[in-house]
Amino acid sequence: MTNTSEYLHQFISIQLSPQANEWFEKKYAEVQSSTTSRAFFLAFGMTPKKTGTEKLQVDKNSLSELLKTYPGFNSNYWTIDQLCRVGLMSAISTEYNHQWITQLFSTADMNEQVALYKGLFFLENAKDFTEQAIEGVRTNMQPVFDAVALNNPFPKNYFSEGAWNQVVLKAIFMNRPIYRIVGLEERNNESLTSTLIDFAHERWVAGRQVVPELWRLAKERLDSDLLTEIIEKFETFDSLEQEAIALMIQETELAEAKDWAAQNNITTNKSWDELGQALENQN
Amino acid sequence: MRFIDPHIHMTSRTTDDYQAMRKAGIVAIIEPAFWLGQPRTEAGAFKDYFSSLVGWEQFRSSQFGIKHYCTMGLNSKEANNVPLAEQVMELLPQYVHKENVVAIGEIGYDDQTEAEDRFFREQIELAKEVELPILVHTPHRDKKKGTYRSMDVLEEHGVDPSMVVIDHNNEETCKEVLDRGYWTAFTIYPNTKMGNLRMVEVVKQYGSERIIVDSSADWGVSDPLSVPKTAHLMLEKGISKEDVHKTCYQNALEVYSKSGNMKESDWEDYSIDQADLHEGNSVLRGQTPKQGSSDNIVAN
Repeated sequence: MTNTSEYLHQFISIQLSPQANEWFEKKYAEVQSSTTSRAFFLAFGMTPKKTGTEKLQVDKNSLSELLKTYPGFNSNYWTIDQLCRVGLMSAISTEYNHQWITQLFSTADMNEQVALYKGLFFLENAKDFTEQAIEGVRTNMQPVFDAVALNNPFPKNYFSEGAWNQVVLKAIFMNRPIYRIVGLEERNNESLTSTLIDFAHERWVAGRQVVPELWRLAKERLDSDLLTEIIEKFETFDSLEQEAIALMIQETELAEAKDWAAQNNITTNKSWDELGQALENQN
Repeated sequence: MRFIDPHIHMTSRTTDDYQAMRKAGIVAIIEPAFWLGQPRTEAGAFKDYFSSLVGWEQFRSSQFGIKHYCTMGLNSKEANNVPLAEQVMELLPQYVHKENVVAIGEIGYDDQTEAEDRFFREQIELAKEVELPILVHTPHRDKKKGTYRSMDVLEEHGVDPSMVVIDHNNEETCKEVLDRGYWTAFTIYPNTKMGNLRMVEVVKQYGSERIIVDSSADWGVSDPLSVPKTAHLMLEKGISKEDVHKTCYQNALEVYSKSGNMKESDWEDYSIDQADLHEGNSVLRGQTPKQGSSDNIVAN
């Protein structure tokens, strides 16, 4: 038993009603001592019926603990049944967990998949599930994609550059709020920004909007040519798009961009995260 | 009005259908596990099909503002491949507790063979064990005897009729099924099952208690708007709004909510603006139809 799974276990018991907790404790112990998958599969399936599906309530102290264990953790995107399911995952001995969890993935319903993907990072041998997490990025079900890509430290810690870039590109394609991707800036890379600039051009040629958050990652690519294109189109951008350009220019060293912004009073007081939130609220 | 189509195989339908269904007021559907036309030869094909019913298809449906449920089971036709059927029976326990599963079904008889009988009974026991309602498919051929036999077997296993929907009824089977206390479903299906003018007569004669209308639309010539069309035809023919509501919404909700997995609040999140559009929908227009020529008739 690792500290993480013990901590998770304790945290869950505070969250549950006495009745639900009694059920959970019993199942947790069963799963922990099992050498076959049956108890885990049954308990995992039953969880929402036993614990309810309410949004998680987390106080400040617990949250800071959770953030240490799981960077990007945000209780707004967690429900009690998801957390309990993850607790059950972490109860399995690492001798069996890869086999059982992989098997469950192959028959999981949508919300089970969501809980499974959110939970992988808590596992002692999380790294062993990297291929599975990459498979999750290939889904067409948005809640499943979100479970891997958003507020989840797994990709940042375990994905190769190619797999990482797919997460970001697909999030942008699916119009997901990329400010919620953990490690967004730390893992930014030249190959990704080059693809993002190609994508922006594709969108412009098709007469479509470029997701404003794209500029957060592509800002290093801002040069004279790109600036000229942006200036040409600037009037057609909506206000958040314009603010994203303003923010990109604030963070660039390109003098002509700074001059143009100053002359035309192109400014914003939003941070990238605030811009991302504003976009998310708008969608 | 809002409708539930409690029997429709959306896997075989297009996005046009989903859009038309939502526009016509369908807010929730139940997709029973069935056979896909081409017989499966591997258990893995069943596994992936079951997974799609609890995964992809329910997500796809949600994209159109329709809440998707399903039933899990081995259909009677494929029960005749005994070695395969045995493997499917081993798969089922992994699926019966998924959150959009509202019954074991559709199970029952097709040719009424020994193998069909065996797996019907095994699945009745499974339903009892996991406390789920049962959806019974009644055979096309030898309908009356097959239907009666299905009920006999259910009673032999001590199943409470209020937990069972007997589907694909007609005028010949209706009275007995109702009298024995079962939920009595009618499939409005061009050419083979019921036409909806006949359905109107059934409701006129028997009322709306425990009667359920569905489309069973699948890969054959069928109509995913059978339920709303029948509802409108009933209204045109003078059946009360309350009876229409019961047969085309409430009764299905009542029986399948016994699973613990289906409740009205599940689709409250979906915008109701679209649901109300059906009044102006040309497919369903016909508040003053000419006798016998309404757009809402599914000929049979």
